Amino acid sequence: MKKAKNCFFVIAILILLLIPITIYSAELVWPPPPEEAKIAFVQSFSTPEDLKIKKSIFKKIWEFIIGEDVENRVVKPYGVFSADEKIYITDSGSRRVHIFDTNKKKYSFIDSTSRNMPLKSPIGVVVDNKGNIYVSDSIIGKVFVFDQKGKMQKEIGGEGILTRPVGIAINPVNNYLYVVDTAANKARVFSLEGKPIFEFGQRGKKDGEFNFPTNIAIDKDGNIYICDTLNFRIQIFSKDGRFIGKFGKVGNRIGEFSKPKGIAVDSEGHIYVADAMYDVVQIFNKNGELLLVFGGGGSEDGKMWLPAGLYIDKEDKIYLADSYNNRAQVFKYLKGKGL
Amino acid sequence: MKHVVSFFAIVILFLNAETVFSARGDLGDENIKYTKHNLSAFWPADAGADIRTVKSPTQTEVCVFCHTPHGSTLEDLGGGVRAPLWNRKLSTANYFLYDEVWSPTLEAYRVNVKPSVPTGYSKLCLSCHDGTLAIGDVYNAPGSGGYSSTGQSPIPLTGTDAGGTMPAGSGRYTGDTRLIGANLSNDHPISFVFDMNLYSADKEVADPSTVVDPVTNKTLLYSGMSATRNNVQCTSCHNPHTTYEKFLRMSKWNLGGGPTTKQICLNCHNKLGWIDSSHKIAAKIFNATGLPSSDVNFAGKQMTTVGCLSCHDTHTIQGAERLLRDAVDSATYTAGGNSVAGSKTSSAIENVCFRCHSRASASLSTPHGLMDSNAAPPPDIWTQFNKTSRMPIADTASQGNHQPVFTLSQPDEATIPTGDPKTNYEKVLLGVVIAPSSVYKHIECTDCHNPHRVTSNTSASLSGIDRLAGMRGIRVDGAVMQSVANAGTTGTYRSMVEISEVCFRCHGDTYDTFIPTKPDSYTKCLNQGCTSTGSVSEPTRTTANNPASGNTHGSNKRKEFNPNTPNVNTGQSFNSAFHPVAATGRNTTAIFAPGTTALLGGLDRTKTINCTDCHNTEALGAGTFSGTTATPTFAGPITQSSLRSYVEAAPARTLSDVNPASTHNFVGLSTAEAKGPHGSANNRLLRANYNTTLTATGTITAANPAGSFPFTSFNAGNFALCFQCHNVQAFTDSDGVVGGNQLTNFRLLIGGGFGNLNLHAVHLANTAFGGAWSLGVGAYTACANCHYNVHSNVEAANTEYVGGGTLRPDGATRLINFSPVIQRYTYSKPAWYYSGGNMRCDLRCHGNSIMGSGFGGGGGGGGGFGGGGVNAQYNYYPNQ
Repeated sequence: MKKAKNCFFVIAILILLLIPITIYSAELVWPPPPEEAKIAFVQSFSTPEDLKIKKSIFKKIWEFIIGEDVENRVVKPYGVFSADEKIYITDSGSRRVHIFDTNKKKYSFIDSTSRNMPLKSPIGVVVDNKGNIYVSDSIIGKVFVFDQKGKMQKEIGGEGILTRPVGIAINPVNNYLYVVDTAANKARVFSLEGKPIFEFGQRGKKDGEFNFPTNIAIDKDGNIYICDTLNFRIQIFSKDGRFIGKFGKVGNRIGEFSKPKGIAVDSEGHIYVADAMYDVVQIFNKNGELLLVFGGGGSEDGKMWLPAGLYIDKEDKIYLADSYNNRAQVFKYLKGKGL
Repeated sequence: MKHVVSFFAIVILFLNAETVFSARGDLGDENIKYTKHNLSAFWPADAGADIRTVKSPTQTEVCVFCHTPHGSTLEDLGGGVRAPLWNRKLSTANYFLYDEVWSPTLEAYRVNVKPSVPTGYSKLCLSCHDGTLAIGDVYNAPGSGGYSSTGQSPIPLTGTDAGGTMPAGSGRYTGDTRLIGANLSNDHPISFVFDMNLYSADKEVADPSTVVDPVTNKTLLYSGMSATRNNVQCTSCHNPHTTYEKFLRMSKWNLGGGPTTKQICLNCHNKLGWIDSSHKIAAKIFNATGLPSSDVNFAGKQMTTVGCLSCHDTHTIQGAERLLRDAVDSATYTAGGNSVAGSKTSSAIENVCFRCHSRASASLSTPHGLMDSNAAPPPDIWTQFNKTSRMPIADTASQGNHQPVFTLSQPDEATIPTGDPKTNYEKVLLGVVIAPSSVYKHIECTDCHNPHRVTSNTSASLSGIDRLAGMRGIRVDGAVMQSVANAGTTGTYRSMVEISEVCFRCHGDTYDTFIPTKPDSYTKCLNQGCTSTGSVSEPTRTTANNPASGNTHGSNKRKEFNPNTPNVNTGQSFNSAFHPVAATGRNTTAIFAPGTTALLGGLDRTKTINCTDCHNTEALGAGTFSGTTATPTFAGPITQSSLRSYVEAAPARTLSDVNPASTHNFVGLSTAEAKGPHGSANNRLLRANYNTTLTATGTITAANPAGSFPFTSFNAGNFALCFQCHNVQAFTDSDGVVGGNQLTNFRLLIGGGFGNLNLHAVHLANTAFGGAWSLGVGAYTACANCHYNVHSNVEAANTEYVGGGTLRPDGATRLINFSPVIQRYTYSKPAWYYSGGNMRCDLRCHGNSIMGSGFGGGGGGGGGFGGGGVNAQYNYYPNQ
C-alpha cells in the first residue's frame, strides 16, 4: 500500500514538473506581497543575444573575413513600440532604430534614410497595420516612413510643418498619425500618407495649451493622452483635439511629477507615466488618481535610470526605454480585479 | 497736466522695466530669466521673440523646472498624502532627487547602479538634454566615456581582447581612452571621482582642492554616488543660471592668465609645458571665412585665444577620440559634425592636425587650410603625406584603422618629485597599450610629436626649437629616454630627446612588427628573371637573413647605429662601421680631419648627423647636378638639435653638442612645406635622389647572375643624397687631391709617374686620368654595389671581411658591404680584407674581371667580358 502511495507521489511530482508554467519572479512584482500583484517584471535586454537572437553562421563567417560589424546593442533608447512579436526601439545614442524580431529570431536596424543621410536623433516610433515603420527625428525635424526592409518610403514634415517631432502614435479609430511637436508646443495630425489634417495646442498653461509636450499615447477608443512635460501634467483629448481632462502637478510627492516623459495606456484604460527624475513609472486611472508606483533608481532588473519612452501592447506587455541603463525592459500588467 | 501725467507714467514704467541685459552676460552674471533655461510657459518659444523685453507676471516659475518643489499637502483631500490605490501599504511618501541620493534612510536609490551612469547634478541636466526637451543631445558618462555589457568600466578598446584594457588607476579617470566606434557621441566624461588619488596617478590635472569657481571661490566638485563633494559633474563647467556664453563658469576663450581670464579647461587640466608651447602662444589667426560650422566663432581669432578649442571639443563629433575636433576620416566625416552612422573606424587623429597644417582644397571633405590667410601659415604637412614615399598615415586601406602605434598608458610627461624611484617610468615600454599586430601597422602624428609641448620658436623659454619636445624615445642602447622640462642631460631624463631616439620607437627592436618586409628577392630574379615592369622587381634592396637583426626580415636601425653592436660577420665585439648618428664614426683618418674638404657643411670626424639629414622632404631642395658637378642647395647637415652626439666616456654616456649651431642650415630653410620625414617625392623618404639600381634592367640571368653595369654614364644626380655631405670631387677627381687636400682613401699609388689613382673615380665616373683606367666602355657602377647598406655593416649579408688575410688593424670596416649581385671569387663570399700593408677586394663583378691584367696580383683574366674574377689591392691608410 505504502509503495503504491509513494509511487503515486513521485508520479504526481513528475507530472507537475512536466507542465510548463510561467512563473513570475516573486521578488519582481508590484506591489510587493502580501498585496495582490499587478505588475510583473518580464525581462530586460540590450543586445539581440539577450532575446536569444543569435548571429547566423553565415554572418559569423562574414565577420571573420571582413572584421566585426558595429556592435549591435541598445545604447541610449528613447522610443519603444511592439507589434507582431517585433520590438522596435529608437536609440539616440547609436542613432538607429533597432528591430528585434522575437518570432523569427532576427535582428535588423535602420540608421539612415534613402539618400544615405544618417538619422540624427530618432525618438518616436510607431508601426501601422501594413508594417510601415514611422520614425520621428527630433533634430532633422521630420517623420520618416520605412518599410520592413528599412527602405524609406516617404517623409512627413520639414520646415514650417514640423519643428521638433518627438512622440508619435497612430489612432486606431481614424487611422491618423498624431505627432507631438515639442518646440512648437503643438500636436499635429497627419494622414498616413503624410497630408496634414489639423493641429491643436499652443504654448501656455491653460487647458489645451502645452509647455514642451513630449510623448503621446492613444487608447482603443481613439482618445489622445499627451504628456505635457514642463507643465507637469497629462492632458487627455478626443481624437479631434477636444480637451477632455487633465491631471498632475509638479512636486516630489508620490503621484506628482518632475520630468514626466513616456506615456502609455493599458487595455483597461490605466495611464502609465515614466518620470525620468524619479526613475519610476506611475500608474493613474482616468480620474488622475494614483494607482501604483513601480521601478526605482538603479541598474538591476526592475530598476531604471532616466527612463524615457513607454508602450503597452494588446497583451498588456509594458515596454520601457531605460535610457541610461542602455537597455529596454518589459513588464506585464496582470489583469484581474483592476480598479 | 496731461503731459506731466504721461511723463510720470513713462518714468514709472521705465523704473519698473527690467534692466535690459545683453544676451551674453559677463562671467558670473546670474540671471536665468534671460537665458534659454527660462522654460516658463509664458515666455515665447525659442524662435524669434526678444526674451529680454517681455515681462511676465509669473516669472518666478522659472525655478520649478529644475528645482522640484516639495509637494504641498493642502490640496490633498482629507490632508496627508494619499497612498496609491493598488498599494495602500506604501509608506514612503516622497521621491528623492539627484541631490539627496546618499541618504542612508532611503530605499536603494544609488546602490547597484552601474558605474557608468550619470549621477548627482548631471542626472538633472541629462533629464532634459536628450534631444527632445533640449536639442543639445549629449551622452555623458563617467570614466572611459562609455558602458560595457557587464556594467563595468573601463571599456575594452574595440579590436582588442580583454588585454587591451587600460590599467586601473590611470586612463579610467583621465578619459584618455574612449570607446572606438560610432555609437557614442563623445562628450567630456562626468560623474567620476576627482580626488588626490587621481591627481597622483595622472599628474596632468590640477590639485582638486584648487578646482573652484573663480567668482565665488566655491569648489566645483559635487556629490555623485556618495555625498562626498569630489565628483566632476556637468556643473563643474556649466552654471545653468548664468547668462555667460554657453552657461560656462569660466572663460571659453584664453584671454589671459588670471582666474577669470584663463580658458576654462585649464582650471582642471594642467599639461606640463603647455604654456610655453607653440600651439599655446601662436599668434596665427583662423581665417575669417570658410571655417566649418562648428568653428565659425574662431574667425579672425588668434590660436592663442582659441587655445584648447583649436584642437579639442568637449562635445565633439561622433567617432572622434580624445575629444578631438573633426578627428574622423574623410570617408565618415559629414558637414555639421556627424560622422556616418554605423561606421566603426571613423577616428582619424591626423585630421585635427590637418585642419591647420594643410592648404585649403576643394576636394577634401574634412576641414583643411583653416589658417591659410596668414602671411606665414603653419607648415603644410598634409602634402607630405601624399607623396611618393611617406609615413603611413594616409594609407588606411591596408591598415584598417587610424590608430597610433603607441598609445600612452601613462602621461607622456611627468614631473618627477624628489625621491621618486623613477623605475616606474623606465619600465613603461613607450606606453604600448594595444599589442602590435598586423592591424596596427599605421602611425599617427602623436607617435612622433607631442602637440602640447612642441616648440618651434627660439623664444620659447623651456627648450627653444624642439619639435619633438615631450616625447619619449629609445636610446641607441635600448634605454627608454624621457624628455622632461628642466631636467639635466644625462641618464634617462633630459630636456630634449634626440631625433634618432624618436625614430627608434619604431625603427628599432620593433621593426619586425611595424615595418613591412621588402618583397625584393635576388633569388627570384635568377629563377624568374627580373625586369623593371615584370612581376619580380630588380633586387635593389634586400636584407633577408640578417644575423645581426635576429629576425628573418627587416632591419633594426637601433642596432645598426649602436656603436656597441657586435658584428657577427667580422666576429668583432663592436660595430665597426656606421654613419655617425648616435656616435662619431670609425673613420678617423686624415681625410676627415677638421678643416679638410672631403665633407661639406662643416662636418668632420668629430661630428655626428641626424636621421633627418638624409630622411626628409625633397622640398628642401637637393641642388643642381650635372655630370660630375654637384652643387647642393644646402650642403651638410640640415637638421638642428642641440643634442647631436654623445661621447662614450665611461662609466656614463654623456651628451655634448659637437656640432655647433652655426653649421646647421635648418634655421635658414624657408619653405611652405613642412620640414621633416613626413613624405618625399623620392623613395625611402629621402631628401635627395639616391639611385640604388645595381644592374641594368633585365640583365640578370643564371648565366650572368650579376647582370650588366647599371649606368652608361656618370650623373651626380643619381647620388645626390650622398653629395649633400660628401664632396663629389672625392669621387670624380683623378687622383683625389683637390686644393692640396686628399679627399679619399680609396686610392692606389701606381708607378709610371701617374701618382695616385682615385679608385672611386674609376668605379663610378671613369674620370681617372681621362678615363685611361676604367671598368670598361659604358661601365659605370652605383655606390650601392659596394656600399649596399649605408647605415652600418652589422647586417652585411654578402661580404667576407677576413678572406685571405685579417681585419684591418684599426678594426674599421668602412661601410663596405657588397650588394647581392657582386659574386664571390676565391672565398665563400666577395671578400674585402687586409693583407698586410694593403687592402684587398676579391670578387667577381658582373661575371667578368674588373680591370686589366696584373693589378694587385693574383687571378684576373684580361679585360672584356667573360672570364674569372679578380683579387685587387689598394693602399691601406690607418685611422689616426
